[in-house]
Amino acid sequence: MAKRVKQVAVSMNLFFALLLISVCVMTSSGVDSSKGSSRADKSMLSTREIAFGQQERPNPSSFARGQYERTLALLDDLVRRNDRPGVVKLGDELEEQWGRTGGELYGLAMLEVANLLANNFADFQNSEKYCFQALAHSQTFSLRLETQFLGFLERDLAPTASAWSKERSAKAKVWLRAWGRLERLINRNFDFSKRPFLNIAPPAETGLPAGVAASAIKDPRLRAQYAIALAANEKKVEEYDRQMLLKSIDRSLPKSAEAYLVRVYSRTPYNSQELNRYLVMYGLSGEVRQRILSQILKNTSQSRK
Amino acid sequence: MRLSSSFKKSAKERFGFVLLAMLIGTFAWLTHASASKFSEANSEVTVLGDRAPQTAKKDKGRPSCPHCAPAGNQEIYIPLIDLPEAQGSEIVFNSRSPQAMNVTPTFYKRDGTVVVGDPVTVQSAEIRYVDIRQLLPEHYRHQRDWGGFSLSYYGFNREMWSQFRFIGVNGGSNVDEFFTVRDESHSDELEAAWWMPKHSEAILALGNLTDNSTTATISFGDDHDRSVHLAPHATEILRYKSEKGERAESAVINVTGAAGSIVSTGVITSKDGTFNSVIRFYSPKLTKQSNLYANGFRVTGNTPHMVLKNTTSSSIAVVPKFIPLAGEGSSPFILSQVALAPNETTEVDLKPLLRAAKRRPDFDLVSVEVTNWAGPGSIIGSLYGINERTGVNYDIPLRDSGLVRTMTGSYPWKISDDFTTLVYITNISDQKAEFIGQINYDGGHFVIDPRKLAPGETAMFDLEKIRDDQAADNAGAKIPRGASIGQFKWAIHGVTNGKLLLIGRAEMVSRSQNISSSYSCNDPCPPYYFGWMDPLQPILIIYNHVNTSAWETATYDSGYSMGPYSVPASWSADSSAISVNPSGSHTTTVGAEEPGDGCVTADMGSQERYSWDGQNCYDNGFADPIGDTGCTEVAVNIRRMQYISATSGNQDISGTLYVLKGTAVTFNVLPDPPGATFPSSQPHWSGSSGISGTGQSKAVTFNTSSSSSTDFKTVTATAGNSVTANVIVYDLTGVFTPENNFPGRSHERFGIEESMSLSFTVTPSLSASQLGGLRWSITSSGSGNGTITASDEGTGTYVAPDAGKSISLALKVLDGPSKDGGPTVNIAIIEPSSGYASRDFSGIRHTVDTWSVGFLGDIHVGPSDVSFRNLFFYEGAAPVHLSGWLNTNQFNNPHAQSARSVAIDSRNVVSEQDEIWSGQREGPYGEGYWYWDIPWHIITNSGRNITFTTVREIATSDANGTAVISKGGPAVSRVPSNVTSFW
Repeated sequence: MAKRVKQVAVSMNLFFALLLISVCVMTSSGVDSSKGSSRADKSMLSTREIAFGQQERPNPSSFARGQYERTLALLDDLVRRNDRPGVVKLGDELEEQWGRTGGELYGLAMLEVANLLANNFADFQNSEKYCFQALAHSQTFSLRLETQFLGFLERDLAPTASAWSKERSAKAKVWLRAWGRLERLINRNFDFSKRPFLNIAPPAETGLPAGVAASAIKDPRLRAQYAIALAANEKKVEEYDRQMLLKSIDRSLPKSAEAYLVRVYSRTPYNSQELNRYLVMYGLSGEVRQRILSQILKNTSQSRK
Repeated sequence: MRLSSSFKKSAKERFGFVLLAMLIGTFAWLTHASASKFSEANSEVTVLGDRAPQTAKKDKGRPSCPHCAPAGNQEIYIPLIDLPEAQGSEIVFNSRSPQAMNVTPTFYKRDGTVVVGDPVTVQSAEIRYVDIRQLLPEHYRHQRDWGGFSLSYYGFNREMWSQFRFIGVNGGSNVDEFFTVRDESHSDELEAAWWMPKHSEAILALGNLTDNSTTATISFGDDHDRSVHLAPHATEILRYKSEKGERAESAVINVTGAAGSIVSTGVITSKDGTFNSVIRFYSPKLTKQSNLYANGFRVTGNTPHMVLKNTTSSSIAVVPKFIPLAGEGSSPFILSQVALAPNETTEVDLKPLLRAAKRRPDFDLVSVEVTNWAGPGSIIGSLYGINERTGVNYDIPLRDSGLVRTMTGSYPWKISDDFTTLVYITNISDQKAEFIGQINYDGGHFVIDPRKLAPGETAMFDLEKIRDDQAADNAGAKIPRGASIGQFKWAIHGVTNGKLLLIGRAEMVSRSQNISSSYSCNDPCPPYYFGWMDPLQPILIIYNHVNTSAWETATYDSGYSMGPYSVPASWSADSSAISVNPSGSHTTTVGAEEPGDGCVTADMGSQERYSWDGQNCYDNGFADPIGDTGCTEVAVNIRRMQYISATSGNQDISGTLYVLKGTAVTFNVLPDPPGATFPSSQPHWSGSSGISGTGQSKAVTFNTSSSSSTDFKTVTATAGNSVTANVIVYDLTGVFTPENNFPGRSHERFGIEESMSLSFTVTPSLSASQLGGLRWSITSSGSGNGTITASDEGTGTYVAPDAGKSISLALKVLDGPSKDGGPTVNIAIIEPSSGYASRDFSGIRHTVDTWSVGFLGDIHVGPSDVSFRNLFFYEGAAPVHLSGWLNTNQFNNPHAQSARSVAIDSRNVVSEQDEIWSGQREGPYGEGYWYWDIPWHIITNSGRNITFTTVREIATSDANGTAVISKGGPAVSRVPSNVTSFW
């Protein structure tokens, strides 16, 4: 019995894990409001599933699209007026008001703040500050967005050795957190040749064209059969798209992260032990750890000559 | 009234004078063939000495020979070279030429027979003693009865000179014989007066130097007369003995043939050889001046004899005066007046002088002046000294001051073995006089700078002492310890006021060889003095100082030059830009006081202007200024070069400068010393960059790229110094590389949220850090233009915004002269705008005997030249439209919205396939259709929902039940009879 309970528990865990890693990029504003019903009754595009592997914490006061667009308008006005302090103030307000709830739109807004400060004002200190603040909530937004923040953290800003050690440590952690997140989610053996379907034809007996809702089938047996097929396809779509997006990120993130880590840990003060600890902490494979640390050792040996 | 001019003229006047002199000199030079020839030969001159005076430091282009007479065939002559009493004979070649010369000796028998010897080459300024018989053709060398002798050469008068010497006459000392220039022999009357000891003989020789016979009568003092007839080139010897006792003698030769055809000389010799001397003949009619002069007359320890002869038929009285070396100011000794009856010859009693010399050591060595008021040529004389200890006889020429050329000298000197040579130069005038000199030796020369002599003063040069003391001249030259023979040259320097100021001679003595010779040979004319100052540097740096000195070079008509001489000058500056201090000295210091131009003038005084007609030298009574002017520019040094940055101010340039092609850069230089101001004309800008002009700052636009990393476009600023900046001009191009870089895609248009890497290419190959850093940025105004993460190495990543718009991106140089420059790239961000379904990898589905058709569609999102990868697609709901045979409840269902958005892949194809199926219905068939106008949506990563197109999915039937279906793209069809198939 206990074994049975344990199996159920494991199954539940797997279920929730699957829920957590479900991919959905659509927000409530993306819902088509045209006539007709969705193909499966439960398959309304969810605003709660916007982050890879994470489900946004339910929060009725999360950053909404309207607020996001108003924020963009404000930023646009500030930049046109060349008002860097205004941008900084807005960044602080965003973090203050929405940092705790986070979310994709919060992340996008913070990304734009960081982008404008770096691009328009060369204010790399503040740009990085908002990147770090946003990345503290990276579990609330997509890995794709998380990797975009990392691009703003490639500069070495600290003026002193001690400050640099801290900066390097902080940046290494956010890089590795994203990389680790990728490694946990990606299935590098995924078979992309088995494509799911956008529309599925109902059972032939119904004579109905593909694209109609399950509710169009009068026969309960055939309707159930169609609903099951739709649900199965939906799952398949979910996994297919997730792996496809992860594969896209996999083309650049590990390479960029490795290059960054090797570069910064080849600089003095040398601290490969710290990096090794982080690599283990964020779940990078032994092979990756070995490769990175070997390269750093090689670089530092040459520098010491 | 004398004419004179000051050198302190304006620069234009000076230039005009120099130019005029150059023109005249050049014209005279070029129009005379021989002069041209000389000029060519001159270029091959090998002058004795390592410091050839011909290579003067500076030649301002003045004529080297301002009063030249033409070169020509020259001949010098002596009437007698063979005496039975002499043990031998020799001549000395004394070259005054700047070049080697060929000299042809010609021997004449007593009867006039001519024997021509082989030419002898004599080097420039060479002194060479030669046994005269060695010049004879070998088979003549044992013959006797030789009479006259001549040396002929092509060149200038007195360019080659010589002196003959009978050696060991009657076993005693030598007797010299002096050459006459054939063209200068014009006299029809020659007179001589001499002293004869007891038991001695006077041997007179009369030589005919012409090609025609001639005659003469000789009258001796005892009224004994002789007539002679001389064949061409013949020599007659007359002997006159004194058996009774010592006495003064004289002779007069009246040339009854052609005037000047006869040259005479004489020898006094005692039978035991204890007294030998020369008899000097003079031409009283040609004498220009009344007094007689001598110098280098030894009093103490000598037995002197002075003989004077009144050449006139009237009584005269003269006063001999003996002047110490220091001159008139040191109380000369004046003898009582000597009265001379008409034509009387008498020996002057010098006992009072000898007594005075015992009290006055400065009378040991004196010059002599016999003051005569009876007119030129009215008196002749001779002067001898017999050393009481050694018995050496000295012949001291006592004669009138002579011609202008007397104020020059070119004497041999010899100090080998026990030879000594002393040179005396005496100011015989009542005004100060100045001379220069040069001692030539094998391998070099020793310069004697201008020396002033007070009236009556004598300068004495002991060649042995100068050598042994290792005295140095103004260039530090010393007569080598091994030097034993050479030439002593001197000449008048400065303004003479038309007077004859100086006489000189050399006295060469060797006790062991019984030789005592007096040399007083002259150059034809005093040299011309070229004055010059050490050149100033073209540019003097402000507050710096530089020394310059005044120099002169003496150049003779033959082209022979001496010097350079260090001379004093009066210095002046014509501008406040420079100063001179001191103003009167040989060397002055020129100070650079303020930026600007300035000239320094060295006024070195004046010189007498002489002219020469080839035979005689004339004082033109005109003073030419001597001097020089040197100009300079006072400049400020350049401390360093900068470029001016609009944002960073002035930036020092160190190392190579990298400039983006098309950039205008303003360069600036800083003065050294700080605080100094550049002159308006400086710095001057130049270089391969094309920069030009003047001023402290200058701009240039770099429009030409460097072909390599070493192809510098230079920017050079020149003021007191030059500073160059090496510039590499590069071309910079921004490079966009889309992350989804599929074939045929656009590189100017990109899909929304498309990601691309940013980089650059630069020509020539350079790193971003060399360029000052490069950074990409979005230059479109406002926000919502996408995100850019950019390094300072010219790389980065750009993610396009989620909405279509035009975006400007710039690759900017971060630092350096091209800061903020760089290419701007305009791109278009494109939203999806079209789509369709195609049957790419599918069969056709059909159920036999039914109206049915379908396929697996691939959903394409367009346009196809940009990427929409990783955007999300879904279909919206759509009502159905029905007609005809298909307008039934079966088909009356709306299209349902997609349950989930799906990603778009790298081909702009939705990752999922679409089952496109008409449904099916059995017959009987009829015409009809159903369709959905399905809205297609894109969801961006930012959550933006875009309805980018509406696609009609339509199925039709005809009367035969033919089923046709399409979804925005190609249609497929099936008739009912087709066999069942699956997709």
